[in-house]
Amino acid sequence: MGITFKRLDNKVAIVTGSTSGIGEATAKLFAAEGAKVVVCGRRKEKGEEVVKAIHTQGGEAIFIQADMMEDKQIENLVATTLETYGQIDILVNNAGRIIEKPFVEFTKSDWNEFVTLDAYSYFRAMQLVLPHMESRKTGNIVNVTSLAALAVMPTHALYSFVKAGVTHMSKVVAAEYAGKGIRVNSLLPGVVYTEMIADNPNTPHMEKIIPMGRMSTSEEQAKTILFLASDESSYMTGSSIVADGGVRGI
Amino acid sequence: MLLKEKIAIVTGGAKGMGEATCKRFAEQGATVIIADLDLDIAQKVAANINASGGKARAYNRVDVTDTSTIKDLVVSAIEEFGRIDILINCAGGTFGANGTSENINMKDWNKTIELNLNGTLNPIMEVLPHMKKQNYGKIVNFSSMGAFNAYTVVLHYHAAKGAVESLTHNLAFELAPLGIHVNVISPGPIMTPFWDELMPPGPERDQFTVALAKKEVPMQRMGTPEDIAGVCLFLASNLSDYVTGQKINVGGGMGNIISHNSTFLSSDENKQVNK
Repeated sequence: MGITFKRLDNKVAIVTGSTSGIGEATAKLFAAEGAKVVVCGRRKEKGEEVVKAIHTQGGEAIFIQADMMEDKQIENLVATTLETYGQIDILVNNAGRIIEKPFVEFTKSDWNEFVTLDAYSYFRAMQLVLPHMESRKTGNIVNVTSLAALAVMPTHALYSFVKAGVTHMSKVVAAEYAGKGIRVNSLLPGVVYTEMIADNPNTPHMEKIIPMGRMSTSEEQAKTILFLASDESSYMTGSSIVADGGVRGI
Repeated sequence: MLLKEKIAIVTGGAKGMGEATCKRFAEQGATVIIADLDLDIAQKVAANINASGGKARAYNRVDVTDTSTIKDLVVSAIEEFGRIDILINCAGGTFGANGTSENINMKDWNKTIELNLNGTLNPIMEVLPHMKKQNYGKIVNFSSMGAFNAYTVVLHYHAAKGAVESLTHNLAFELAPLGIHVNVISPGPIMTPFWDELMPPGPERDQFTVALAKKEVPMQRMGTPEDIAGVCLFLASNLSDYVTGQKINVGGGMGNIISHNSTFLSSDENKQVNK
């Protein structure tokens, strides 16, 4: 990628949902910047491929299989990371999916599943790493949410509700830990070309409303996550950085 | 290096946040063109950068409210390098000691608007033809935390900075299809020479700023010019290639979250600054 400057030398980073998309790009970029990366997700084969690619580039990474819907697996993710590397410097909460339906068609099980994966997993992972980070007086959390936290589209009732909630919760966590050497920021990606969106019928329409005229790559989002996870953003906490090609201003 | 072979103009580049940004950019491979009212200091900063293996120029004295001085700078830059990739609009400041409704006058108002708002637009107008030809450009403007999160009242300065945010958003929308990014940084309390006009440097000021940060800043410390330089680097480099039209609050949490102890408007510290 040509930007390597070992910005994350010797840092240990957990990137949830890093078997594909933004998480995969982030894991690879972090490793190129010198971090020891914990790749995790449900899909073992995909995760091991990502780790292999990092090793081929001379980076350090392990795969820990985790379904972020399951408490025990989130606990195991954090515990295994600490056993392996002894510390956690960076947590990137990224695991998630999209759910789109006309408002009246959402069911209670949609609610439960979606809130568990896209909100509870972020909440629980932060709860588990924060005492460790506090004991070391240093830590950095980046919560990847969505432009949907700010911008409103039909069929996004549940998606926007959860993304806005997590974005706002990040600020509260930032406030509680601001004086303790721990920074917490959110990245709100706009439309990103990932497998989540490849076969979405709304995709061509969405491109038309982007001032930059194109969707984002996962790598572009990863670079902005790198900024938030590195010392370049040393005086920032509680921020929501929108990387959306100009859709939503200021 | 993030800015290899990039050509960057930094207004207000001789001191404070601008100077720190020039140094960081030079370390990252950019050629830095320092535009400042004080040509002597600008030349010294350029000489320091050149002596430490970087590349910098200070062609002429630049007053961002005087278009002819910016034109001269841009002509020199284009003659020598043929392109301008980055513009950092860091020059700014305030006139008159106090900007409350009781004390403000139209003379200070007009001068402050001219420096901060016109002084942001003028350099943009001069570099845009070149950025449009290149189909590439990164423009970073400077607002102030007080524009939307007042911790002290400076009506003219903060109104000008609010307008800079609107300018940023509109330009970003216009220029996005052309590959030109426009974003704005909103700094919180950063220790720069800007403070010298409010309070002389010394132990009394140090004590004051430590107390101020404890009270007002969630991260419990004052910001440094280097804190700002890192964000400029983000917005000027390919790390921000899908980010345009955005405001980045850089205030140790200010603007995003409220400090538990925040009482500045009615506090003794406020009276010390706003005499």
